[in-house]
Amino acid sequence: MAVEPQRDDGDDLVGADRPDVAGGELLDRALRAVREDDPGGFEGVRSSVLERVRRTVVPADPVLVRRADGGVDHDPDGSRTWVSSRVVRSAVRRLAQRRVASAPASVQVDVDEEHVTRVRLGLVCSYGTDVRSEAAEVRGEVQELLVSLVGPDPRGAVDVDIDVVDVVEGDPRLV
Amino acid sequence: MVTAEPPEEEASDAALVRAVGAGDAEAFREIVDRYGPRMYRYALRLVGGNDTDAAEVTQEALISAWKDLGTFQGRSSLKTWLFRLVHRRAVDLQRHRRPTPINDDLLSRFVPEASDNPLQDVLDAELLAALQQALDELPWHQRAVWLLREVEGMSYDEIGEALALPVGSVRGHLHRGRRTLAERMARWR
Repeated sequence: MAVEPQRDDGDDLVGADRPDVAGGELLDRALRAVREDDPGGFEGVRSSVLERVRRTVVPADPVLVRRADGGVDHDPDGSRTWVSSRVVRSAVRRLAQRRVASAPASVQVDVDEEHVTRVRLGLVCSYGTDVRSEAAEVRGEVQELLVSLVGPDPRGAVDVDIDVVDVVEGDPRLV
Repeated sequence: MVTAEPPEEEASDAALVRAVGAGDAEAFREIVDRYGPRMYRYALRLVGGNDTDAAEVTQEALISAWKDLGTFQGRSSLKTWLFRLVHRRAVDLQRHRRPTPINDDLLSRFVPEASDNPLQDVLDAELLAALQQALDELPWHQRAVWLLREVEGMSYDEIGEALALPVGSVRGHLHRGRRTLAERMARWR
């Protein structure tokens, strides 16, 4: 892991600021050595961090799954099915990440009494995109996703708020 | 529906930050892989070459990043922000653990793998050990500024943001740090 520093302001060790003392040359050599040195040990840190991230419990609410007719989905014994709002949020994010002209910057799923009441989606669009039609398409896709995931809500289609937070040149998933 | 396959190109820092803000743990993994090794190297030199402390500092900085990236405003670059987190965690650690003992295993830890030039490797290892000892004797800000400038190649502005110092102070710390390190390396000769 040798990362070459990028000088951007004209400063260099060989210049007016370089110490004109006997150890200057040794310091240069030590600096080259430290830049090229791979101290090792980061792999363990990486694993530990990613494991902690994976175990992070994001606050979530249960969403009751419904049948196609809007009734509560349960088996003959009366057992019902719930989906965590965390799962809903993740599914909405993945759906939004598949688009070309926009990318998600934030996803929030509001739940009240086991119903998804609102999805708030922050989007970054590529320059030149018709943001109104993009928002309308995304809104429709999210509503379809919700129906396929937790069934239709008898209260009606879930509100999906789209907030275009930025416009960028190029693929918004990359820039 | 206008959809696309996942892009093969590397996402920018800004795009990764946005994805993390939307809850994408995979984007965070990319940030960890992009900057984690350099954060760890900086932490290691800053905390006296103690790999246990460096691991703790880097880990806590990255966990803080995961928790706070959703609110990252982008006023500084992601790199500068991450190094600032490392620096803060290192400061916290030093406050709680002073005085930091010199690690007796310092020399052995720097012994590199065998290579085509074993004599040069031994010299480099000794140089690194001497440099670490000289760094440990530097005042905190001089040490941090020297590492960020000389090893990580940051600009004065970036260092100022990472350490919450005016650029003039960054220059002053760097000048004094270089001179002191050179003097101490001369003693080692």
